[in-house]
Amino acid sequence: MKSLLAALRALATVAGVWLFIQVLPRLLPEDPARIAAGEWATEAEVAAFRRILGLDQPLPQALARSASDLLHGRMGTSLRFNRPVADILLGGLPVSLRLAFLALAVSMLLAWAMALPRGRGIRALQAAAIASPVYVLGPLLLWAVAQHVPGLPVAGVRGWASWLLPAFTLAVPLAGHQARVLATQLEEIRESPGLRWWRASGVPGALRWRAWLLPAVSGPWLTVLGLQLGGLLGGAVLVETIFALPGLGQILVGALASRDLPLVQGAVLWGAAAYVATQAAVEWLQALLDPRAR
Amino acid sequence: MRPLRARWPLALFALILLGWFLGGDGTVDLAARLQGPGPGHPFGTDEVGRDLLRRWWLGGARSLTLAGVLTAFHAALGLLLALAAHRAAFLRRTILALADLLASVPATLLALLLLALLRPGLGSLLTALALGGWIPYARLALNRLDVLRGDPSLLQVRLMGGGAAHRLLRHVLPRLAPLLLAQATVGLGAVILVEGGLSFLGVGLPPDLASWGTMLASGRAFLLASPWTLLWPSAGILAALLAAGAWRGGAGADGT
Repeated sequence: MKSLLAALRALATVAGVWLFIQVLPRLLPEDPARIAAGEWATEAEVAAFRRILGLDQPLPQALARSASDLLHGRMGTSLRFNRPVADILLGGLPVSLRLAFLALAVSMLLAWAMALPRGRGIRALQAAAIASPVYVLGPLLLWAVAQHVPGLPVAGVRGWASWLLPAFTLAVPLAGHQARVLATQLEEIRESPGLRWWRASGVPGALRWRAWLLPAVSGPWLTVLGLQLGGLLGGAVLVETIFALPGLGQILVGALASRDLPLVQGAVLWGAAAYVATQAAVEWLQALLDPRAR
Repeated sequence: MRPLRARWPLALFALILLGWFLGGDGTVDLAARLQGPGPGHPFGTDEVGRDLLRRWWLGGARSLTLAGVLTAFHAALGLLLALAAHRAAFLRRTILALADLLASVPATLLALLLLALLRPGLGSLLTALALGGWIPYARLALNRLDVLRGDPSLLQVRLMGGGAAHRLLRHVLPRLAPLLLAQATVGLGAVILVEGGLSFLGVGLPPDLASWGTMLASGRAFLLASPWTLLWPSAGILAALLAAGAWRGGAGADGT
């Protein structure tokens, strides 16, 4: 029952985002048809774009058309490619998904490596990882690593090796945030009287981890992981640009540059839907793992 | 909670802000393009021979000023909306619903959506970044206002004849300030991060205005010819984000 309500709420949020994306072009001072047609287009050309974008219809009719399209699995037609937006997005999805899950897996390993040791140095390392934006790290890695390793692909998808640098770049800041959460939690629990009593009475380390520490940190860790995965599923705009990976992020940047409004709207709607769905899934998973969250 | 504990971040920010007094980012000198650090140019030169130190300093000042102004704006807007939401139930529902809605779109996507609908320029960038930035401030302030509603000391001030403005300015705002300030140190880093990313993509600041993001974007093309075009702005952004992180005292675990 409760999970059904949560699913309904997530659905309502996505519907709200859809409404926002549809209404926003009409609220802003700029005419979207003029922007799409270009500075030097004639009035007739702008009117044609207005018709294509559905801006010549009153809002309720335009919303009804868009809603019916969406329920039929369509998201409008791209201005630039004259192809269905849904098809274009589906074309970029596999690349973005693979990058997202690879980066998340790498970040989980890095996070534990940065969370388990203690001391000032490791705290500084966590802070440095958090303060490393991908658009700084990516070019730096290209300069420091790629030019010295012959045969390492630096752009595009050519075999498994082309995923190494992008996944690592994306993983570092994610790992920094995870490591900080893990380290804070671990420190708190390690000093708790209950666990000290376990240790003093000779409960073996493996059991302490399995029965107390891991379950205790998994909740907050899952929350962070969910936020991060949700953000990644919409496409890693910056990393895909740096390493020229043909994913959703690249599609969005290309659509932005060519003022392809339906494609931008589609990509943003997908990103928001993936984000909301991931949050809902994480909440559900946490209720499964932790009876207190039910 | 004691934010603003460390002092060195403040010194670093002040030093970088001095870049505004350089007055311009140097002259084009095509004969001296893409040089490494040397006597005339301590940081080297960029792809059209401009002094990298001047550009780095001025660009840093611009990035930081932009981030500071936006953070202050976010905090002020969030506070205003929280005060409005606190007064009327229907406003509270509207504002909280709007916050939930905007928070469910990742920040970069939200900014990119807005940039697709506006003419490129500084104003559009500010609007795009301001759209969702107010949310954490509004939520925090509203929370604290709800707690303060039943506070006996505020009731006493009211009974003693303190007017609404007096209560707000002298008794409520001083209690909200530390909370908003702590959030602002988180927000400052976030704005530096997103602005740099948008400028890096070429949809943030126009390329002729030097900032760390635009310098990274243009330096990337000359990576092998002269890594210095890339290394200096990278160092700047890393230092600024580290400083923002140290400023808030190392606490806080904020999603991505």
